[in-house]
Amino acid sequence: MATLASTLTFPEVVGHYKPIRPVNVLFKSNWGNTVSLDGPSWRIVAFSAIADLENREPKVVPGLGELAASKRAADSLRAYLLPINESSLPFPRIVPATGGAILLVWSSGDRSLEIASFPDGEIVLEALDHGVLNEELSEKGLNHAIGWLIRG
Amino acid sequence: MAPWDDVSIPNDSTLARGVRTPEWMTVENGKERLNSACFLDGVNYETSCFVLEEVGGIDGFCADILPTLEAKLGNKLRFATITVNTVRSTGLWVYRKPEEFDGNSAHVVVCASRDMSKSQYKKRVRELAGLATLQP
Repeated sequence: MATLASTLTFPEVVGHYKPIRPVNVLFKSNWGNTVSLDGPSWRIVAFSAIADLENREPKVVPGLGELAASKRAADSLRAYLLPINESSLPFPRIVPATGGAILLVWSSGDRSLEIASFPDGEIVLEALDHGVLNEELSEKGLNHAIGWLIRG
Repeated sequence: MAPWDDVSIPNDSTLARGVRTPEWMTVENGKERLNSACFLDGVNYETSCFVLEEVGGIDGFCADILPTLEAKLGNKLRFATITVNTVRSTGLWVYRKPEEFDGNSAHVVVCASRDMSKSQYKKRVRELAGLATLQP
């Protein structure tokens, strides 16, 4: 018993212990930011919704279609949204289509953006003004389209 | 993608499509409408529909087809209707696929031609969603 107690207290180590960092400095992580927990609130909501769709059990309903979002469509949509740090965007609506595709819709007044993510990883962006496609803006890419959306 | 537009399906026929709620619906200013996801398919660009005239009209669809879809899905559905002529006016095709619904010849797909790009297809299904009627 005496040997065990001696082992647990490490008497020979305690006297030479040097902390690896100053004990009076608050701990600060060296890890990089975790994207899903750090960023605009719309993105946290969007990534959570995408994960929900991705984790649904695959189900083919004859007469309706295949109803689970594909992993590639989910990954592709996350990668597409990741560089966007604009915090004033509204929360998007994210819904499943059939065949593994995902549709994301951002609406602000009469303007909206529709982003379709396909299971092969391809993304289609549409900027809609009063429901009418603005082809030029759609082709300029997401950053331009978001600027247009939030200027509303 | 279907090989061709099946012209044996007349333009004045009406198609019915099961609608997942609330996912495939959007409410704007108190009004319900369909969103693009209702007619969007990620793999084959094919969306299942039924020729209403061949299933006993809306009554027959609601009595026989819709409950079957709901039972397989495990959720309640609503449905939307659209004429074949309207489908064709958007540049999409209609093609019979009885083999995908228990050999029922009233089962068709709204589909795109093989050479259609994804952006062209997406544009057409959005237009289609705007033209279809969501039934109460």
